[in-house]
Amino acid sequence: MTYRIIDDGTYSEPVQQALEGVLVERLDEGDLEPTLRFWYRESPAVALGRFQAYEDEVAVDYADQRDIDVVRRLTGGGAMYVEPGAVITYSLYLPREAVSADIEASYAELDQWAIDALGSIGLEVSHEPLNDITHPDGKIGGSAQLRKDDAVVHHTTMSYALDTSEMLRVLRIGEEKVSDKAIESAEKRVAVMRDYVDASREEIIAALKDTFAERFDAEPGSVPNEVIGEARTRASETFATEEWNRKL
Amino acid sequence: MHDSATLKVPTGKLLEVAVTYDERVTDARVTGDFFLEPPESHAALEAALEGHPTDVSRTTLVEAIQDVDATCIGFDAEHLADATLEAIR
Repeated sequence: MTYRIIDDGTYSEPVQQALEGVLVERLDEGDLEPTLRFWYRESPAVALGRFQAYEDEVAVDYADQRDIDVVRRLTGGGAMYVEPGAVITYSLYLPREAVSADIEASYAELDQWAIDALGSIGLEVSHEPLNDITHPDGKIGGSAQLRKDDAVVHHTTMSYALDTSEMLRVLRIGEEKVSDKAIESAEKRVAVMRDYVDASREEIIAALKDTFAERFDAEPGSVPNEVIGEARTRASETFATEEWNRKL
Repeated sequence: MHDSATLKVPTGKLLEVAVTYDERVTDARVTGDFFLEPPESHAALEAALEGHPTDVSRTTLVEAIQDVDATCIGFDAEHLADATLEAIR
């Protein structure tokens, strides 16, 4: 099995989230090769978990005032605040048979190459069930999955240099989490890679690509233009609409 | 009446159940940072909480949830039943 590694393209948050659906469907239909794709974003955004209540998670007035895109993902899990250049997000699009049927085990398995890659540049991170990547000082990132009949998408967002005070202004962490997680500890719960390594974000992405290519058969690729076109259409019909984003 | 309850599952996931009820639960909304496969089963899961009298037993509620063709990840039927009962009572 040969993977495509796609490391280009900057899109809005609605288009990025739409791409996840289009790409996993293409793979499910046999029209896409297994792929590792890195994300580049145009502006700060919130990727909201599929089942989260908008107003529970987002400081709505602040997000509106700062023109921050809040986009409901296709995948479950928790809200992530993201900024261009300050996070690393990647997606794995895999055939179902390459992924453990045990969902909990599959999160650990699919995160392992990335944890090893970060370890290779001196970052002490590990998988923490169910879907976290953690440093001894706090959470570095989290993963989420969506399963189709014959395809799985597993995407992961990690903080490279996130502005955690801004994150706390945008998200309602601490307000919503139950008592033991007060707002002061919320900031500490997030660890950012740049506090622990000198590597630039580009160098970390390069390390991720290198480790992936050492472990799996991989060659460079790109997202076909017509897939991007379809994602743009789906973004305007769904992922950029209040109907989808605020439905819960 | 409208009430809600938030349950912190030991795995770390948060489950919030909001219910509207009189003698029976007429509407239930389940939100949180959990996972569900397939995601489309979310509506069926909410529907499984509806129609029960407010003195529904935990067992009945757990069974109704388990009858839904969904894989809950990060929580189980007991957690959802407990959060629902806490919201109602």
